[in-house]
Amino acid sequence: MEYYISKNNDKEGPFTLEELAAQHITPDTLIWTVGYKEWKPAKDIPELADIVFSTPPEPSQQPPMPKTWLVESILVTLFCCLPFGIVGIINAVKVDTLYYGGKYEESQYRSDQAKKWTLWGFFVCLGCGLIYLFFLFCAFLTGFYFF
Amino acid sequence: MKNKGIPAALLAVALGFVFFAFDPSTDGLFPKCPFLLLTGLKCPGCGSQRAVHCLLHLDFAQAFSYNALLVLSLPLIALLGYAEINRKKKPDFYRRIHRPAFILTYLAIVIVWTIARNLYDIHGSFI
Repeated sequence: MEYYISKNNDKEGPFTLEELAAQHITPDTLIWTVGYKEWKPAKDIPELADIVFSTPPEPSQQPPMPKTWLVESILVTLFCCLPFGIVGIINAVKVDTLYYGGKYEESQYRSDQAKKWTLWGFFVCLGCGLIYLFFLFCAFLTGFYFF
Repeated sequence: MKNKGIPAALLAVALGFVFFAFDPSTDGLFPKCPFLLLTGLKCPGCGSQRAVHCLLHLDFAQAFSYNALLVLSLPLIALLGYAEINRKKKPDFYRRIHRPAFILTYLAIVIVWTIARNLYDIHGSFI
């Protein structure tokens, strides 16, 4: 028995059953052999069952979710007293939404944006704190402690 | 990750000591919120310093009155922080708790709460 395969609208073959095993047949690959009126998907042909199901499934192409910076954004919102954290949270939502929509590159871009805003919030806060400490220190040195 | 962890832990311990030893509600040592000084409006983080002081003294009721959002967010922060640290090891767990609906709900709570606390300050009640 010899079989033909339909791949991308091209006919390939004929193949013996042994040769067919090397052709990476998936359950939906269309097969024809003498006696068939039309092409049939491989999963409907009992004598091909061994070949079809010995082909491993395609590995999942889903990459891991990019870092959302959500927890950092929440901390900046609660402790740094600046609206930067809110922007960080909004970007975190976008990272998620794009990721679940399968747009991995855009999701990664949003992740970078979230990182940027969150770090800005953090460093502005830190900078203000250091300037404040500096003035406090100067006030102590001059004896002008007014609290 | 490990290199960043040590200075972050030292900073947290140092800040923890300062906020434990001094009371921001009576001590002028602590900075006032620049957003409050500029606009007269409270941001989501106002009261956090006083709330942290109360939390370190295990006074949850008082901490809640200074910044309710902070106290209510603590379990969430712990959960998200755990997921963040284990992001490489447990990507599925990270993905499961980072649901857009979940984050949007939190964002909505932050916004509603910020508006509510400012309205309360202006009118002295929620009416």
